[in-house]
Amino acid sequence: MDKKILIVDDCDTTRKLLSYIVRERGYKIMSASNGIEALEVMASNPVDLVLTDLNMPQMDGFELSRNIRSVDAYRDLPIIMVTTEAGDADKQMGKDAGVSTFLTKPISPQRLLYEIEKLL
Amino acid sequence: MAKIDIQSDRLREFLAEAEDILNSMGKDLLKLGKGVKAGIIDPAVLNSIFRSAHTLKGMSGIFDFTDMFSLSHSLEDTLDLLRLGRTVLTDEVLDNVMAAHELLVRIVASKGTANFTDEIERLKNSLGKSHRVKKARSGEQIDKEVLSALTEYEEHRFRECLREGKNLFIVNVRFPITSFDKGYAALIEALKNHSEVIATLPSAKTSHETLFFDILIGTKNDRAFISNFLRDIAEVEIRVIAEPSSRGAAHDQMKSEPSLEVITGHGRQHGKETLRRVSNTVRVNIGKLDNIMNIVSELGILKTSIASLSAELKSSSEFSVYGLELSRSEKSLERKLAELRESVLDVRMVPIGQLFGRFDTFTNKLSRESGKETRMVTYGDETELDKLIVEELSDPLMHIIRNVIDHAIEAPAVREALGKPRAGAITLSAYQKGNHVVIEVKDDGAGMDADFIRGKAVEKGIVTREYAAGLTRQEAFELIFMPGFSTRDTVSETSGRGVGMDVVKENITRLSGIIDIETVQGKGTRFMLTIPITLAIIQALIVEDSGKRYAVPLNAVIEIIDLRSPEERSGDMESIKVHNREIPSVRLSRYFGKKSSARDVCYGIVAGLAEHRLCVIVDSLVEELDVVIKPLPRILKVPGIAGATDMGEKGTILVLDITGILDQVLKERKTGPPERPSSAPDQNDEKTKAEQLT
Repeated sequence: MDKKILIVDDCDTTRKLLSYIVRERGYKIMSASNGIEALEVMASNPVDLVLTDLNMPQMDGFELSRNIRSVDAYRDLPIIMVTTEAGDADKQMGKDAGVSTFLTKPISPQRLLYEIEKLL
Repeated sequence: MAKIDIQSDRLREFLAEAEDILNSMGKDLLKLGKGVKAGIIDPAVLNSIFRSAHTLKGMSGIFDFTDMFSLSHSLEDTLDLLRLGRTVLTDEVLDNVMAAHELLVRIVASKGTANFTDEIERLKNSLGKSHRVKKARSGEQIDKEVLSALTEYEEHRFRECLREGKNLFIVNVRFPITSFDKGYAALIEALKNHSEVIATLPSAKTSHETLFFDILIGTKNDRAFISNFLRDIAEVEIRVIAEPSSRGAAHDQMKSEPSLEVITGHGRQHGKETLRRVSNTVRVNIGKLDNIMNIVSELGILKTSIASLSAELKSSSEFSVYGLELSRSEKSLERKLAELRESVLDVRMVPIGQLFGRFDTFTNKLSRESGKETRMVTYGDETELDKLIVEELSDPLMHIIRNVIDHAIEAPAVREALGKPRAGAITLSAYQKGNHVVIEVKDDGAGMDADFIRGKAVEKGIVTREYAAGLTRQEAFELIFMPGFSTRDTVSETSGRGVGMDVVKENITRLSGIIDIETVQGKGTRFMLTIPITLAIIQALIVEDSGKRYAVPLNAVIEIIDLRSPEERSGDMESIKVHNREIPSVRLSRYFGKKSSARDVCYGIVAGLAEHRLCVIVDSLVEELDVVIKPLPRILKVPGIAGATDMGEKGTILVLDITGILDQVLKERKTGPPERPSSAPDQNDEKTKAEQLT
């Protein structure tokens, strides 16, 4: 049952709030503040879904997605990107990088949970 | 748990976070405002404001807070342009940024219930109007490798540092992978003292146990200095990127071979010290503290029953030994309880500086809008008050300041003509006085004219001409607290929100506080707010009059006089002489519209707030207790009653509001019974209702 979700965002508060939302549905939470940390976490803990920001220091969301997709075991891992940058170019880049769902802020918690459930 | 509960938990968490961010943004804005006035803009402050807006945007984006999201989004855009040097920070831009901050504060305060769409659209429009300036690219050659790793903002800061002739170094540092976060934070903190930290670049070198960082800094200090002061903190290497201040032009140096300097150090002490600073606070819902308070007061009641039990045991011949033991334990229990109460109270205390800080921005804004110049000074920022009271004080103080800027401070030209400095001084100060805190708002403006106020009050139909004429100068000033009093015929944007000083008075009274005014025409006015330090738990004196018990808050009690001997009492007991001062007095039961038993044996409780005194006469004194005041339901609100307190087995008793009684008695004595004419029976009814509660 307990699906594990990795939340990646460089802002502590956003991370905390996202986990508040997601935890309500009984998911287990792990978190990382950038792409590198996220990959470190994933190296030792299998996760079922990645919820990531786009702009982060050291390794951004696109690069993180590309890195995740390069691992065989994670070829089909759902990746949701939540960001304010909404341009079509960004969406295309996200798609190319392997992002499963691209969500543009503002979104409601209900919508976020709906998207997560759809992918799990 | 029901879903709605979790939802509101989440909402509360979100609002608390947003409040924190807005608070720190407010402080930064203050610094920025001061900087703009002085002509120096600290890029770190500007960037910090930008970060706050960015975080707010990010947070509100994952909630249903579309209002906050759209406003913080456009605020972020404006701030981004500012920090990148693409927009000039003019007064107008600063105004808009401050207005946006203020609106965000209001949005958070409304908890998503109010609609701000129009205001937001207007503000977004003005924020968007800030003019772009062309970016003057400096022609200098910059290390391409370094540049490519920088974000746009970092590059901007890099170029700015170069332009200002600062040295640019890369500090390479390594930390063990197990503790790198703490070491890194300590190093950055230390670096900020002597340089601007422009960026942290991922270092090319990595190993399994060690993490390397390249930190790009701009500084006026030379390399030797930087390496010296980092010696104790961490093991660093310093590479020169540009060193214009030492010799020659900037680009000569930039092309020079990177030089290396290796310093080894231990940095144990420093690292540890900074570590502890990281975060050692807990945010607690004040309701939980209230709960602890209740338990403390219940323990106090239990303690009292143990005390009576031990007294009984002591007097019995058979068990007197146990009685002594029990009474000794009871005494230590009492001491520990007192400590517990103190500590719980201490937790609720916050320095009033938190509140004062908010007014600086607000004052600047109001002054600019009303074309006046002001200078705010605060004293006693460290004075502590109950968190809930601090919040309650926010509105009244804001309103007083509004009035001061609007009505008291003269226009700069007028002030000059009067030989005063152009900028009016507004002084906020706080100090503790016994169990109260006195907060003063002082200005050096026009002062108040008693006759002018009398005239206005008559004109507005608040009082009759005869009544106004009969008032002393001091009493005339009190008229400004009457509902419907406003000295300007046209309500200005600043003072006008449909509220007057009467609301200020009401708010302060609700806190069991009082307002005093001192004013000298032409010189200025001083508002003095005397407020109890806490409302949550109070030490009370339990008294009895005509068979009824009441709790009198000890913080209002100045002394107790024994009126049992006839010579202490004067005929009608309308007043009592204490220390050669004639003090008005009132029999408690009579105040509540009951027949007084008028026993000869009685006590006088001299109560006072600020300069006012009143003697409350009661039959007997029962005991001293810590009580938790529970407010009465609104329909039972009665003047003179602050609330009720649960005494356990002894039932519920009413807690007196000494300020309220004092106010009313003094008024009645001055103006005679007409002051509460037709409403008197009603009030008595209500009093009886409240008493029936007990």
